[in-house]
Amino acid sequence: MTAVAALTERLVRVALRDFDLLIGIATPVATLLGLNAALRHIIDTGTMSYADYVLPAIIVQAMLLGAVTTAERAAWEQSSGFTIRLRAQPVSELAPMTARMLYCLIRGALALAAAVATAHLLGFRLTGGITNTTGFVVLPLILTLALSLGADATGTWLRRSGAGQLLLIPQLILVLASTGLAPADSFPEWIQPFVRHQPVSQITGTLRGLATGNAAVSDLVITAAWCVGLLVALGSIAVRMQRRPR
Amino acid sequence: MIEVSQLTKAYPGVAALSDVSFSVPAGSVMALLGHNGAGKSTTIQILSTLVQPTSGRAVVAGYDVVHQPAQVRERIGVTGQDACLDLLLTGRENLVLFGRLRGLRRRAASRRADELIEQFDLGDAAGRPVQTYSGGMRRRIDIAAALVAPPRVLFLDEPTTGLDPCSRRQVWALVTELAAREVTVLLTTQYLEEADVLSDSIVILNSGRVVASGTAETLKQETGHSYCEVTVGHPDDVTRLAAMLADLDGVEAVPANNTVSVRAVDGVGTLAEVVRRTDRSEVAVTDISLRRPTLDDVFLHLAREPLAR
Amino acid sequence: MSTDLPTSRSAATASVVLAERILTHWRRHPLVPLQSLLLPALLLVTYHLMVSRSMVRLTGADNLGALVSMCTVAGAMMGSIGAGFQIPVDRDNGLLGRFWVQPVRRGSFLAAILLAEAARTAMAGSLILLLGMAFGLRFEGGWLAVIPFLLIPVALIAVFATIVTMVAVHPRSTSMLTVLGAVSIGMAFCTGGVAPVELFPGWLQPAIAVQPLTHVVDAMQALAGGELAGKSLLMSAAWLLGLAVLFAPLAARGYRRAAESGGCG
Repeated sequence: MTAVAALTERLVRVALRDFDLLIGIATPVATLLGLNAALRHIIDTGTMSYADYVLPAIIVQAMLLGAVTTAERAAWEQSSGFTIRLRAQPVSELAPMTARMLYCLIRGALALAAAVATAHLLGFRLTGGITNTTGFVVLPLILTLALSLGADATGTWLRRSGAGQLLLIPQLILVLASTGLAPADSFPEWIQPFVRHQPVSQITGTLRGLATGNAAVSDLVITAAWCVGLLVALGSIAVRMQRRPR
Repeated sequence: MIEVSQLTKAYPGVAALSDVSFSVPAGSVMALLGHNGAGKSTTIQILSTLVQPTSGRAVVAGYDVVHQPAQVRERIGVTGQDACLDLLLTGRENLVLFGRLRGLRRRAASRRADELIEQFDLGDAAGRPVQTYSGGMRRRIDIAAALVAPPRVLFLDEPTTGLDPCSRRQVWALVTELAAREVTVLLTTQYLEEADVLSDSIVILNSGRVVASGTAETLKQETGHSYCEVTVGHPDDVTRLAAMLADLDGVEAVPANNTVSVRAVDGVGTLAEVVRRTDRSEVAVTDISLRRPTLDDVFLHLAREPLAR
Repeated sequence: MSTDLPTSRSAATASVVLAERILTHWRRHPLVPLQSLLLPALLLVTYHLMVSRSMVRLTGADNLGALVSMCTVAGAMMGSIGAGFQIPVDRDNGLLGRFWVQPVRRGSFLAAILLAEAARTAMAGSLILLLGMAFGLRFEGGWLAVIPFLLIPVALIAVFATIVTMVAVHPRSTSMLTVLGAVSIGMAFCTGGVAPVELFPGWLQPAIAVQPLTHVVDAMQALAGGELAGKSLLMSAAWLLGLAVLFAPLAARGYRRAAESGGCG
């Protein structure tokens, strides 16, 4: 277990040196403030303030970006021989990946806290009670873990930097063409079905519900199923990628 | 062809070179010997106009490196300690790139690249990215790139470090051939054999200063003479034999090695005398030899440890 | 061995040769061109789909001209940052050092970067403009205005690439480049492309009115809309000139230092 702790500590130290944690915290804060400033008067979100409306999307975005940096990290560790050298040590072969996931959770938790704190300044309040609030916090963390496992597998497989950049493309589409930033009827008719039903819309809708305490049970179940399902599927792929003989 | 006079380079806290002077006649090969950090690479960097000296003067191919760097650059070729190439381009593309940077037109550069690929026996690999090359192949492209436009002066920084013996011989053959064609070569090396075999003159650097210079022969002579070494069968015989040779010059008994050594003032003559006396003494002897000082001895004596400050 | 020296070469040739090297890199590893083309294209499409209805409802127009301009600018800047990451690689490889001792004019190295960046920006800009027109942008300016419309981001990138180079040759370039990228994107989004400036909060508007990218986007938008772009063009030119004068010598000096420290000998 100490090996994982040592590897995680190393990642944190590297992240502090490369400003990764700082960027991880600053990005959701800046994006929330920026989007709020720019779109507040443009997008009609009904009775909810725009900041309250858009916070879940900011959180999901932060989790996605965390996954992108994980892909880069995994690619680097694989291509630089770092991982291979560790195999000669009495360390479990899953230890490097576990350390990366732990770092990812740390980064994700910090990003989540920063986003919520900023939203708090803009008037956001968690009014759902203990259970709902717990769900509000746990769901994104499961999501970031699941996405990072997938990103880790991608980065390990591709083995070259730029792996993460490729993941930016689907991320951009999924976040922008969802109900995370604007309600479905802001979009042209022909794209509304896609917008309503895609996973990011599901997740942000559920998070919004959890924040106010009126999440529909069916939404909650679907979202939880998505997140846990992704976790299991991507997790097993990631583990198999680590166990591949080289 | 290369004139260096009182060259000094100081970095904050480190005097990389202090008052270095030497000269290399046209068409000859000079080797710079020294431990890591002795200033060999710094010297090459200054002479190739990459770095400016703090003080002193250096003239390469007739032009001052500080005041006329452009003219110097037109007449030199340089290779570094690691092969400095564009890893994403193929070997051929690298050669064409450097050819065109030297002013060759596209087709001429292409033809020259083909010539060099043939000369350096790189045919198969020339179309693959340099990233995929072995160390020896990279070094070959590296040197080829330095020769794209035939230089008057060639600087080679540790050209055979990390190469297998076969590749090393190839590089040696190349340097000898270049020298025969009147190219002046200045190379740095840690391999004493290389300096010994290749160079017409040697300069030894230690901590940024010149501690010795001359040809390999003069350096060896200055440092030590040849000596005869007798290895006896029984440790007790060491003192007995030493006593028998005591009137000779420079007798030294080394009981730990079971040896007695005598300075060979007369060379083979001394050896003959030692053999006669040893024979008369009837001491059981396992080995008698005449040992010449090697450049190893020179190096160990002068260059291995940094000078105390 | 012949001692004939090659015929004299102009700085332009060396710059072109080195620019071709960069373009070859991009062809083999298209990450940088993808960043400066694919990402802004996707941003254009999805953002337009998201806000166009609301924008028309609010202001009567869909702001597509400004959005196309902004996407071109943002994409080009991200591409420059991506391209900048190759410089520390070349430095640590000793390649910059080797280039430095070639008989070429010292200005060729920076000129080559600017040439390659300009080519990439012009091409990406054209493609994004075509994409915008496919989504209904009407280029009222006519054919005559297309050239300056594309030249403005090219000029911007020429200056931005100089800044990127200055940062990229610094020993701690990786983290600094990431920060520069984040700041640039932030500035690109604080322009009229995301929304007309009047719709931004009051306290932010003065800052937006002053920053250089606002003028760039405004000038491009005006050209696209067939209006006179005089003031924005002048302000953009003034900003770009000032930044060029400030950063070009720093970039050149940094490049020399990087070449020396990376070695190659």
